[in-house]
Amino acid sequence: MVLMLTGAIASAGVIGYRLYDWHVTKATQLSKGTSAFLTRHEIDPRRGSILDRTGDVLAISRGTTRVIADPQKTNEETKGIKKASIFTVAQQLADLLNLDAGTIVEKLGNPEARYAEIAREVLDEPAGRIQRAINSKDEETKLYGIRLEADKKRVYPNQELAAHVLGFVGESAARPNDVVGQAGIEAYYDDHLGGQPGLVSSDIDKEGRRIPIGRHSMQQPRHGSDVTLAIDRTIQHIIEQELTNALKKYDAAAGSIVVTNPTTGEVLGLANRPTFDPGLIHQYPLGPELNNRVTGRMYEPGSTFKLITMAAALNENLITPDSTHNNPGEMEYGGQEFKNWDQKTYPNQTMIGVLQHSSNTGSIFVADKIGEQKFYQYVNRFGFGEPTGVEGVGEESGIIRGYGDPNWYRPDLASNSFGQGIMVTPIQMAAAIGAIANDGILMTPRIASTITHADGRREPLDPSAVRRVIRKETAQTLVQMMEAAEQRVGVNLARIPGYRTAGKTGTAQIAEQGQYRDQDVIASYVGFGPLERPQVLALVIIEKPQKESYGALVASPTFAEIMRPIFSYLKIPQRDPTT
Amino acid sequence: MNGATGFSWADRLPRWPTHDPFLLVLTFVLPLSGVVLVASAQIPSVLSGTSLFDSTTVFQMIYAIIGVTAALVLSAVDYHKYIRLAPFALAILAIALVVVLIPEPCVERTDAKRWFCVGQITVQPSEFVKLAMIMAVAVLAQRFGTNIYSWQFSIGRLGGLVAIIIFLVLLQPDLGTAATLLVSGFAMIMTAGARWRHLASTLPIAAVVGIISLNRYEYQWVRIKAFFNTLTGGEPDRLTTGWQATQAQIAMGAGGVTGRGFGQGTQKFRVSIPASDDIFAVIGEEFGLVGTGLVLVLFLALFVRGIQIAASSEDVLGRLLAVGIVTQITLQAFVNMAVVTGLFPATGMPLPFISRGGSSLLVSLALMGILMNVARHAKLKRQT
Repeated sequence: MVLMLTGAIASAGVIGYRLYDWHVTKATQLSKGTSAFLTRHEIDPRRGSILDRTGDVLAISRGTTRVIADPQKTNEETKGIKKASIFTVAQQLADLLNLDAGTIVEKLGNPEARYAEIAREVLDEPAGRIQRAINSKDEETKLYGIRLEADKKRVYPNQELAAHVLGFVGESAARPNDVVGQAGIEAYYDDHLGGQPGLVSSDIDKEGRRIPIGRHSMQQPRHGSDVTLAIDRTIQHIIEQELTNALKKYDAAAGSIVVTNPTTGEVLGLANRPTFDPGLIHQYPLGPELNNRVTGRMYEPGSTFKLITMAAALNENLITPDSTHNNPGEMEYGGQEFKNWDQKTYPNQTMIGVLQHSSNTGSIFVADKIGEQKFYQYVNRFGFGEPTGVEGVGEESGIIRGYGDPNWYRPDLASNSFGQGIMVTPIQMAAAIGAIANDGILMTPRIASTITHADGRREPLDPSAVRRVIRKETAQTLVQMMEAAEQRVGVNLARIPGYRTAGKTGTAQIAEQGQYRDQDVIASYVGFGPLERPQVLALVIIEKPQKESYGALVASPTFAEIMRPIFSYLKIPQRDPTT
Repeated sequence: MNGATGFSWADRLPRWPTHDPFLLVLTFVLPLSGVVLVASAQIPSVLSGTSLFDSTTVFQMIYAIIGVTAALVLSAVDYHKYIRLAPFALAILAIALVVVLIPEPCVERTDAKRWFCVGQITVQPSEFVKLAMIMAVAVLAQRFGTNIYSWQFSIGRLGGLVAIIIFLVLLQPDLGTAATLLVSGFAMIMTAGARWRHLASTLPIAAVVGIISLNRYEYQWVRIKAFFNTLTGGEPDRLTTGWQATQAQIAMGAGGVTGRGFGQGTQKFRVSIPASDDIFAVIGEEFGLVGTGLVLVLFLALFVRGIQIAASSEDVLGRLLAVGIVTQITLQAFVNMAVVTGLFPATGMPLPFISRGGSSLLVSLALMGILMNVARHAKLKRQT
């Protein structure tokens, strides 16, 4: 009996020691084991919409349905039923979805496969009929091995409208049923639009089922914010239309129009050709259609850049509108030949005349007065050579090879003064000329105006000034010069009856592999109005027009075509019609 | 009936027996905590669609009431009056152990043929065999008297009887019960006065039979391998029985010293059989070291009390019964705890009084009742 007692006490001691070890010594470490039974799954947030400045929907997320087949199940379940086979299932699906039955048979034909997508983005109505057929008791019409999966679709109700502004979405790597912005506003504001996924975590049993006690937490998803753009759907529509017309009219390959409010930097419209439909993005290869040329395509600005040269000289008090020069139509500068486009010499040409005739040698005269150091300072202060910071992805900086660059040579000052040998983006050009229209203050171009959070809180994206580039008086003087120069042109196709506008044409050859090719040019016009208080600025760029080549002939009429309806849409009063 | 007159009817009723207070408390407290713990451990069954208070808990409660009543009755009725019947009862149960092998297994999750099923009620004859065998061995040993010193009686007859019963239990197979029967049988024969060397000579035979039994079922080896794997600090194999030990370990760790509170344990959703084999892990998680320690101490105290009773019992029969009963109950409890704490390979042994299971509860309480009766006689003898 003593032996038995000893044995019992010893056993109890061993068990007791083990209990102490587990309950106390190793408790913290062991209790971590429960975390293996905590499931977490994410709840996708709703992606915010993109709206135009009037609140019209430009991009919105909608729930749709995917039709999925489990071919193995279809094959097995139909095996025992006389009236059903993969062919009857395929035929039914084909009828319900307006698809080709043969394709579906192919997908169902592999009895080993467990997953095949029959259709995606199925609308509610056919999805409902498919669901009824799945549940059907009728052996003949039941859809064996078919199921529906919820899916989300990004819808762009206006198809191609503002495609490059909006960008597009692609499948998210992080969350299988969600999308992520890959270009444009969709990408730039992805954090806002996408929101934060919610998280459900709960204790599960050994089979993976949720259990009624223990940890259970649910964090609601933070739904995405809506982004309201400065873009106006009507203005956008006008420029899209006119860009298409211009390309057709001049048989041009590509083109861009950007419309801004120069006083705020807001982008009211932005269009490119070629373009794409963001809702059908998977149909486009990674081609030129997807490129937002306004921000991502560098070009030589040509004569429109003379405004920058003129602004610098005016601001430095080196010239007045009436200063004259006597550079010939053909001249040498820094050891290189330069000539006017018309190769004409205008004796005692005023600065207004330089703009009027778009004189290259006159521009060289001005740049020479400024000197290389100051000239490139102004170029930089106008924002060239660095991204403007406009929303989107892939904005280019442009290429300015300025004084101090080891590859800079004296003749570069001459060619740069009239917009050759430098590369800029259209948005840089629009912003820089906007500074002239805005009394000398350079504004950051802004595509979005407000972020509306899911809780209704509105976060305005205020206009932001980059810097004062030139004095107010300089800007006003230059605007007057531009207006005067255009008025002196015999036929000014950019003119809009009833409104005072100012602008400048530009024609630049396209340099390819270091050689200018005469036949291919980029014709552009940049202008703004009404001059009483400039509210709209437009830059029109037509690439490689085949019918005409000068900016004055190709881009100016388009400027007039878009500004006229925009002025009237914005209810900007005409000045006294008699003048 | 005996025609006695002059006594009031009340005097003819059996006097309410004086009980060993500790055993009496255990008789009520253990089954009651069992019902409560089973109720908690059955919570996972809601996931399978049954209601929160499923029939298991209700049945456990009914069995507890029947069992406690039986224990009180047995504690009041002198065991000498019926113990002669034990060998016959054992014979009948031996037949039942054979018959139970015939139908298909009717209890889920196991291939073992241990149960008769009548509707929702399952009866496990091997549990009742414990009761009958302990009493039969006791009564036979008493009858053999000093003959027990010869091996023909100790090993030949008593040992043979135990061996037959163990063999029948192994057929089910129920290695755990077989092993506890072997030990309690051993303890009783030893207490009866059998010689050490006689008993020791049977050990090799027991070992051989043990290995053969283990070999009959592959899972037995898997369990043992998993056990040794955890002992050597290896990662428990999640797919086999190592899983059970790991989950129990987590439960104990999560329980800490004072536990997560009644009903609050989550590991019962992860151990294999929370209301039965693994109920000790549920106690560990919900009541912590306080709970498991108390259970351990109570069973050890029961054993010590039983040995005390045996020692103070001048009646051989009583002494043998006391030894057999507490050895059986405590050994079962310790094996169950040792399995849950990973000190012993999985056996499928319930925790007496507490685990789900009517047969086990009834038999444990009946044994408790007999022990109380033995205690009463032991005390009476001392007092007179």
